[in-house]
Amino acid sequence: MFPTGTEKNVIKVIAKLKRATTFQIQQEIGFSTSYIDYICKDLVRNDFLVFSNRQYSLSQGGIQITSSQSDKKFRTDSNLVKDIDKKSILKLATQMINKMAGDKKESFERKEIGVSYSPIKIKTDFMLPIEDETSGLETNIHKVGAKLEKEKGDSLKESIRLLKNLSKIKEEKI
Amino acid sequence: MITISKENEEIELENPIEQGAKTGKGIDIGTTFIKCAYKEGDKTAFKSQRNAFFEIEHTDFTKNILNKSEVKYVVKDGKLYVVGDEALQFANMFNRETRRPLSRGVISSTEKEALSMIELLIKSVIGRPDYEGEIAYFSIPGEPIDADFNVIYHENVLYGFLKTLGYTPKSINEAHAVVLGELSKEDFTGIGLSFGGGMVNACLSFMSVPVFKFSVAKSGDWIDQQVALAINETASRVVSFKESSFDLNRQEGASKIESALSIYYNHLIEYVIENIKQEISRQKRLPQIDKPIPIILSGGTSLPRGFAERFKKLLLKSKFPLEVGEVKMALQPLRSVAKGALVAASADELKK
Repeated sequence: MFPTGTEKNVIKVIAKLKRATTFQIQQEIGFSTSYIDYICKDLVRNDFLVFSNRQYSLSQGGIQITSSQSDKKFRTDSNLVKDIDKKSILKLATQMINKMAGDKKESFERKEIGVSYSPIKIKTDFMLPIEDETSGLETNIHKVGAKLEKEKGDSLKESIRLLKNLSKIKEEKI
Repeated sequence: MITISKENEEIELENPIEQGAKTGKGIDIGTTFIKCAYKEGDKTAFKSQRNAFFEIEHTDFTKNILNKSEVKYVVKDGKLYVVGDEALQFANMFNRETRRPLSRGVISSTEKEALSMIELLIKSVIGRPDYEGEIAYFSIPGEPIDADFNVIYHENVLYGFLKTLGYTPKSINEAHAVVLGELSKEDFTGIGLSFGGGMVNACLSFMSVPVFKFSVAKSGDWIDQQVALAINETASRVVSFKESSFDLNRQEGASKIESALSIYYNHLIEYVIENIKQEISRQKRLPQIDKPIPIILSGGTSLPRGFAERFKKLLLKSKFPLEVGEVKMALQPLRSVAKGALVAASADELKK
């Protein structure tokens, strides 16, 4: 089970406070205490929290959730560092080349190669060969029949006409 | 003993329609119910079966009793199964759970009788086409955003099965079907929510075009199972209570089962609203909608009294990012998906 948005918020609050009562969590997040209590119990059942002395703390599962979030942050930061490094290295290299070339200043134009990604659409005419698994079965289902209800009036007529017109407009636009 | 035969099918599967009118059919294939909508003159007819079965002792005597009392059954590999609504009654009688061909909105991977049962139930509500190449729109859930499975296999199996029956099958997202079935006065613009048995499906539609659609794999079954665990009951009993007398408005003097149901309903609604908010924030471009967006609620899990009020209350608290207009229950919450699928099928037939 993956924790939901509210559940993640509860885990974050407990990670911040180390140990927290239902009331403390409620003060941070909002919602009613009974709802927070319910969420916490669910998180205990799913091994994200531990409950002792009327306080909740993170279990190994909860710690993993928070550490996976901080890992992401760390990865982003290190990418940023790499990026900065690349830029300063490029600057340094340009300065060195200019120096080596003496007064002859040549400028290099950087060409950017555009790569566009479009979502892959899969079109397949593969049709699963379906065997009639019901043939030869002994049953009274067709004799007894299904539950039948009927709605009077033709309320659907307008909906059908409107949908047909809207799809026509769509097709024309395309 | 009654065996399926061509003759039987032809008698049962006849659907009288307006002379010469080609309107197609819409079928809602849900975790709890399978429902087919079709036109019958100026009326809309709905045929439905509960998507459940229950194994009982196989003797000729039992079969006779079932036949006399018009209880639906099927015999497969020497085993006798009660099918449909009565399966739930039998399960309650034996204090056990029903077996289900669908789980969390798609064909169950763990139920070995899933395919034969789903085929039988679909066949019993939709029958053979009324004319060659009749269009049948069937509902499929949106991709679940909180579970590690997709709907490709489910969609392909149902497509193949309806094709084998002689239909021109087309799939439609369940929540999109709700919009087509219920929001014609709003030009099919709004949020359709289908609170089904296995999933909640959501779709924001603008002028009949889905802007986003998704599902969450928590819904009625999840509530039943959690409540059953919390109060040490069977999920089938919880279902029976929920469907017969549960009222979300009741707060004072609520029984254990009512309190548990109320808590889990709260959680589910909040979970759905949070996921819609997240989906809206993920959209790079949202269409310019001048009017406040209506929300339509449907599906079996939305049936308890007070559901719409509870939804509105939690929506108000949630700081929803779009301006919401009316939040309303579908007139017939169990028919919305099939009705929307029928609207799509009829509009396609008109274009032919």
